Formats: sequence, C-alpha cells, structure tokens
Amino acid sequence: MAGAVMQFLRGLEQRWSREAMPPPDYEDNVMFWVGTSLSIAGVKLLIGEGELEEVIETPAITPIPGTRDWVMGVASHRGSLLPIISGDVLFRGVPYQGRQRDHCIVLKRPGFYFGITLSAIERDLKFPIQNRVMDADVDPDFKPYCLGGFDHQGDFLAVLDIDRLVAAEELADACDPRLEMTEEFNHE
Amino acid sequence: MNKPMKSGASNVWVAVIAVGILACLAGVLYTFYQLQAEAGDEGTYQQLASDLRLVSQELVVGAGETERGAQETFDALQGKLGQFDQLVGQLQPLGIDSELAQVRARWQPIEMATGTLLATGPRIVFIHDISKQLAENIRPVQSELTAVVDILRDEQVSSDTIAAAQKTLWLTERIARNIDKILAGGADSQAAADEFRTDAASFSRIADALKQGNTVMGIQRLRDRDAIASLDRAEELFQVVSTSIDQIADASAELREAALARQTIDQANPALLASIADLVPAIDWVMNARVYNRGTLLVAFGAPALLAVALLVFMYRSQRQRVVYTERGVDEINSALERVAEGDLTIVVPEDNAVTRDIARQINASIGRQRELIMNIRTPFEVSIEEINKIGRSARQQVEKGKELTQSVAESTAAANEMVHTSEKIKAATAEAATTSKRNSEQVAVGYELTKDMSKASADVREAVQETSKSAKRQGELIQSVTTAAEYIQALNTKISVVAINTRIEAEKAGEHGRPFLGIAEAIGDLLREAEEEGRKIISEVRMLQNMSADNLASMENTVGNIVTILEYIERLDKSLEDINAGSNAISSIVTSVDDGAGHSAERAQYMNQSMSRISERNLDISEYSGYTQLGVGNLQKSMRDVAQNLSQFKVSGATVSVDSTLSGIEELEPVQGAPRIYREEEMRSLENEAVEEQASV
Repeated sequence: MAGAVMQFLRGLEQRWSREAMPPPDYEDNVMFWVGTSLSIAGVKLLIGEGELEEVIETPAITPIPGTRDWVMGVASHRGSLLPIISGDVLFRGVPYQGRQRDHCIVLKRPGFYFGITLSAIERDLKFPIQNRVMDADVDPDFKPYCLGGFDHQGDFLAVLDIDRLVAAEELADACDPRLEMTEEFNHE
Repeated sequence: MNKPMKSGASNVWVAVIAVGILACLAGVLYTFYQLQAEAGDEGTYQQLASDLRLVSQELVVGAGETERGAQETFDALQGKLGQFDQLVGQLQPLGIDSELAQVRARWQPIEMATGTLLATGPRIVFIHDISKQLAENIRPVQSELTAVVDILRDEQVSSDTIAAAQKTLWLTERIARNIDKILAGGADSQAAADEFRTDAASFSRIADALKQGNTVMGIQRLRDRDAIASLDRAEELFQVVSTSIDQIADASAELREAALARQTIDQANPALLASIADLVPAIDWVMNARVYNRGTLLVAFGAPALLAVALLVFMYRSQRQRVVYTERGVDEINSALERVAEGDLTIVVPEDNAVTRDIARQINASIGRQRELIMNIRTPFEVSIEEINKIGRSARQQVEKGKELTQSVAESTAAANEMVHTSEKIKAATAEAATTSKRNSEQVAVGYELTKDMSKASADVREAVQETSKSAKRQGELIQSVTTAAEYIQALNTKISVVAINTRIEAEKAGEHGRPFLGIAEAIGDLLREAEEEGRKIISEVRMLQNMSADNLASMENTVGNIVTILEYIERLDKSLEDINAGSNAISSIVTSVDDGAGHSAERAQYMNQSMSRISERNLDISEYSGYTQLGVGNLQKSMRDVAQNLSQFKVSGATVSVDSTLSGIEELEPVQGAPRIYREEEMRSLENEAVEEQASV
C-alpha cells in the first residue's frame, strides 16, 4: 500500500511539473482568505495561513506537576521542549474521555511556543474574503477567541484568532492556583 | 330412753349447785381480803401525810437559806417543790377531796413565792459571788490606794490630786457596803444601788484621771512608777466590781422580790402545817368508814344469799322448760307415725328436739328404707315398660320395613329387566366401537408415515441453512477485513492531509521560493478531498453491507431455530400419533371387556330374579312372626297395668307421678297390625311372571 501512495505522489509530481510551469494569472481582483480547517474539542474551526507553525502527530508527553489542568506536559520536538496543551480542557474545562487525540497544532508567538491537541484535522480551505461572516453564532466556549467565520457545506467554520488566544489571561499563567495558595499559606 | 336424760339433768344440777357454793365462798374470801388490804392502806396514807408535813418544813428552811446565795440551796428547793406535789397526788385516790383542797389553797402562795425565789436564784448567786470576792479584795485595794496617797504626799502635786486619791479609799468602802444592802433586799436597797452605780463610776473616773491627768478635775498625772503600779494593781483587784456595775445595780428589784417571797413563805407556812395536820384524822375516818359501812356488809353476807335464791329460781324455770320441750317432740313423732300408717312415705320426723332426736332419727331411717324398697321395685318395672314399648315399636317398624322390602323387590326386578335390555344395547354399541377403533388405527399408521417424511425433509432444510450460515459468516469476515482496510486508507488520508498542510506552511515560510510547493499542497488537498469522499462512501457502503450480512446471518439462524422447532413439533406429533394408536388399542380392549361385562350382567339379572322370589317367601314368614309378637306384647301390657295399679297405692316422693305416666304409656301402645298377606302373594306372583318373561328376552 505504501508503494501505491508513492506512485500516487509521483503522479502528483508529474502533474505539478506539467501545470506549474506557467505562473497563474489573476483572473480577477477577488481576494481569498486561506486557512486550515481543523477541529478542537469537537468544534470545527479555521486557522488562517501563517498562524500555524506546523501540524504534528501528538508526541509522547511528560506531565509537569504543579501546572493547570489544561497543561498535559512537555514533549521533545525538533531538539527542544514543546509544551502540549489539551484543547478540550482549555476550552471546555473538562478532559475528553474518547478516542486519543492523534494530532496537534504547533503555535509560535513571541514568548509562546506550544502545541494544542486537535479532535480532527481536515485540510486547507480557501474562501472569498467578502464571504466572511462576523456576527454568526459561535460556540460560547470559543467565542472569546474567534473572529467571524465562513459557511462551508452547510457548516459554519469559525476563525480562531491565535493572537486573542495568546493574549488571554487564562493562557498567560500555567501554574496551578491551588498550589500557589498552598505555598502562600506555608510561607505565612 | 328417758333414763339417760334424767341422769344427765341431775349431773347438770349438781354442777350448778356446786358452782353456786363456790361462788359464795369466793365472795366471803374476797371480803376478808379487802378488809386486810384496807388496813394496810391506812398506814401508807398516814405516812404520806407525815412526809407532806416534813417536806413543807424543809421547804421553809430552804427558802430562808437562799439568802446565803448557795446554788445547792436552790436545787434542793426545786426538789422539795416537786416532791410536795407528788405526795399530794398520791393522796388523791383516798377520797379526802375537801381536806386536800384546803392543803392546795394554803400551798399556793408558798408555791408562788418559791417560784419567785427559784427565778431570782441565778442573780442572787452571781451577786453573792461578787460580794464575796470584793470582801476578799477590798483590803489589798485599800492598801494599794494608801500607797498611792503616800507617794503623792511625798511628791509636789496639787491638793486636788491628793484629795482624789484619798477619795478612792472611802469609795471602795462604801461600794462594799452598798452591795451588802442590795443583797439584803431591804427597803433601802434601791438607794444603795443608785449610790453604788455613782461610786463605781467615780472610782473609775478618778483612776483614769490619775493615770492620764485631768485639768478639769484639777488632778495631775502620776509620775512615780510605784504609784502607777499600785494604782494598776488596785484597778485590777477592783475589776470584779467594775465589770459588773450594771448587773449589780439592776438586780436590786429582783432581790427585793426574793426577800418578799421569803417573808411570804414564813408567814404562810403555819397555816399550811395546820391543814396538813387535818389530813391525819380525815384519813382515819375514811378507812373506818370503808370497813364498817352497810355496803361492805351487804357485799360480805347478802351476796351469797341472793346468789342462792337466784339458783333456786333458775332450777325451777329450767325444769319446766324441759318438760314442755319433751312433750312437743313426742307429739311430732305420733303425728308422723299416723301418716306412715296411711301409706304416706314422704313424711319426715323433725330431728331438732334433743330428747326425741334418736327416736325421730330411727323412724326417718325406717321410712327411708321402705321408700328405697318401693323405688327398687319401681325401677325394673319402668325398665320393663320401656323394653315392652321398644318391642312394640320394633314390631311396627318390622312391618313397615316388610312393606318397603316388598316394594324394593318389585323395583329391583324392574331394574334387572332394564339391565338386560341395556346389556344388549351395550353389546351392539361395542361392536360398532370396535370397527371404528380399527379404522382409527389405520389412519394413525398413515399419519405416522407422513410425519417420518416431514421430519426427514426438515432435517435436510436445516443442514442446507446451516451451510448457508457458514458462508454468510465467512462473507462477514471478509467485509470486516475490507472495513479495516478502508479505515486504514482513511487514516492515511489524514496523514497525507497533515503533510499537505505542513507543506503549505513550509512553503509560506519559504516566501517566494516556496510558491511551487503551495501548488503542490493545494493539489494534494484537492486529491485528498476526492479521496476522502470516496473513502467515506466506501466505508459507508461496506458498513451497510456488513449490517446486511449480519441481518442475513441472524435471519438464517432464526430459520434454523424455526426448523428445529418444526422438528420438535413433528416429534410431538409422532408421539401423539403413537398415543392415539395406544388409546385405540385400549379402547378396543375396553369394548371387548364391556361386551363380556354385558353378558355377565344378564346372567346376574336372572340370578337376582330368583333371589327376589326367595325374599318374598321370607317376608311372608316375618309377617307370621309379627302376629306372635303382637300377642305376647298384649299379655305383657296387661300384666304391667296390674303391677302399676298396685304400686300406685304407695305414696313415695315423685313416685306417684311416675307410675301414672307409666300407665298412660302402656295404654298408648297400639296393637301390632299383621302384614297384608293376600296382596303380597299376588304382587309377588305377578312380579315372578314378569321376571320369567324378561329372562326369556335376555
């Protein structure tokens, strides 16, 4: 079966070699919004291009004591430590008991470098930018971190704004508040 | 019978007279005893009067001695007071009330004065002790005060100081004198008490002024140590008085009352002694009067005479009552014997008369014995009547039973004929039943073959369905394998999607140089979309196929289950056919048995008709015997009637009524009727003829 996949990829490469040589001409001035369709905690979302560092399979995680519940632990990734955050616990507040979350998105911002577990990964999608809906109903747990969205095949895909997510106070402090209170009490 | 009664009466009278004599002697002895006792009591009462006089004199002497202030004197006075009252109480039963009242009237002022003395006793004793101590201390006090005066004279002190010191000397002298006056309780005791209070206060004031100095009095303070020590000693010795000034001064009134009480006792004592002296002649008079008065003489000599007269009267009355009592008992016995002679055995002679009690008891026993004998005759007589009545009733019931028996014989003969007809019908029906049973057996054999064929066909169907089920299971396993492969392709699509996304991300990072990779990523994305759609469709259809396969498998298993159920039903049908076959055989056997039974029943019916003929003959014999029984019962009834009339002459309690009822019971017996012989013979002959005809038909 792997041979068939490689053959399929070679076919793709040949097709690309045939069709990629002439650069595409802009047929009109329509601007497209490009992003990746994925799901976090069962909610279909869109993340704009340039927001993601990469998509990886969920690595082996080492738990970190004294952190909040949504911090699953750290993993070794490309020679460095990558904190892995549970998307279910971060947004829903409760852990997910179903099938294992196989994939993570890696986000990188100044001072932030972490991964968030995904419930599903779709593919990259492209939408005319004028089709963006800003006042649609979004899941209440994701609404503070979303900025509009697009209708796609009968579903509304909210756009997850990574900058809002990173700026949230919730994500700024990963230390367990119960542990902090205990330490303050012992110190006093 | 009367002899023992007379002897008993004599003994009673001897005992009564002896008791009377003993009572007279006891009265005389008691009289002498009382006289002796009265003589002893006289001496005792005279001694009590003498003690009373002595106690009154001792009390007067003790009252005078209380002036000395000794506590023992007051205690003795208290004892004499109680002793006097006790002696007067002992004289009280003698009956000299007027003399004792005189003594009490004259004793009353002395008793009150003595009470006053006893009440002031503690105060007198206290002041007497102080006077005694002061008498002992007054010389040393005056000696010390003299020393003080001498020292003051030697020193350069004022004349007032020396005069004040000298004043203390005569103040102590006058204080002692006034205390004696207070104790005497004379008319000037109150003046002496006032003067004592003033002198004691002056003494204390001067002593303080000498020790402290007093400019108002013009007394200078003592400087010499010896003088001060002497003055202290004098004050200490005088402290006996100085600490009790108010008590001594306030006691003057009580001491005056005590002196007055002593005077009262002295004055009243002669009159008391005179009244006590009057008690002695009164005691003598009372004792002599008790012994020699009329009542005593009457008790000593008149009482036995009166007792003797009373005994004579009592003897006469008792004898008279006894004679009347005996006559009444004899009359009762005579009356009872007359009733018995008349044949009345219910009479009972009263046994409450002591004289005639034994005679009455013997007569009652004799009457009871006669009554028992008659009752003993009556009891078997009643039993015989009852038995005769039973025989009569039995004979009547025998005739009734004979009638019923004849009727039953007729009915039994009819039933036997009916039985013969029924047996013939049963035989015909059993022949038809045997034919039908044989036909059923043949049909069951056909059904049995059909069930065997059906069972074989069902087994073939079950094997075929089981083979199909195995193929369906294999088909399901293949579908599961395809599903697993489709799911793997779906997972691979996801990984390819990740690769495409990462490719696009990396291309964007590469900027302008990565644009070709953007196209690759988009192409991969497009292909992936198509692949995902097809993959989803494949998975959906495969799952549908899997479900259909499972349904088919379940349906085949259900079919196999139904075939198994059909096989079970076929087995049950086979078993039911076997049961039907066995039932048909059993019915055939029963039909044969019923056929045989019908034959036997016909034979029994013929035998029963013959038995009926014999029963008719025996019934005629029973009717003849009933006639003999009727004759015997009639003779017995006549005999019983005669015996009952004879017994009715005796009058026994409850027996008269019983004999009458027995007679009536005998009269009620009706003659036993003979059996209707002619009718029975005709009836039996006709029945026998009918039975012969029915036997011919069987």
